[in-house]
Amino acid sequence: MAQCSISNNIRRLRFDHDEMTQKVLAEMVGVTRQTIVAIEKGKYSPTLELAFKISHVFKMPLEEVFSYIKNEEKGDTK
Amino acid sequence: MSNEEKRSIISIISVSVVYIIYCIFVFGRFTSGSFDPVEDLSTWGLIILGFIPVQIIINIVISILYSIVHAVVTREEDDSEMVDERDKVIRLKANSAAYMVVGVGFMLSVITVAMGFPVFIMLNIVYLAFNLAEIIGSSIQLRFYRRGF
Repeated sequence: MAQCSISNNIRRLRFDHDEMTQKVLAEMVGVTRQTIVAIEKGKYSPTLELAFKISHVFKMPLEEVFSYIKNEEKGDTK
Repeated sequence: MSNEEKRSIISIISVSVVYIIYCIFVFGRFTSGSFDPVEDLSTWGLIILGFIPVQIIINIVISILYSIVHAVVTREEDDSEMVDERDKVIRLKANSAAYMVVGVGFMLSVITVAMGFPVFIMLNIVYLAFNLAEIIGSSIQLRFYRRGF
């Protein structure tokens, strides 16, 4: 079974939104700053609910904040 | 290193230290000949019952000290009280592993009784299993907080 991962543009989006801090984003979506850090680093795939909350903060559709990449595809692009 | 990682490490150290103190205490009592480990089961019960509040008090004291040191050094509020979805998943994984360790420990302890070993061995295996469960649970928390999942 192929492994998959979820990548995201949160870091860039935070920067584009007046350099929003991780702490502010965490407070807006109701998680700890460490969870935002883990999501940005790709160490944690958020639940669908949290993913929607984050995309609502940036007023963007979910697929523009998060993208689903199979490891096989990752390998192809390299 | 995040707050959660530090707390996991502190938990591993405090449980290990209290268990080592327990071993030294029991070994001291055993070598002094002040009680018969095979017959004097009520003393075993009292020793283990005594170490449970010791463990709890040490955990509380270390937790308070850590919060104070963290606040002084980082000048940030300790947000470890806040538990989000990631914390819940990590705790669930850690608790599952800890539960399994306790289960295996209990099974082993029953086997020793079935094989005719003295009951104090059963008591000690159960007590060790609880301590190991705490250490393994905290180690798993540490691993998931560090590497992610």
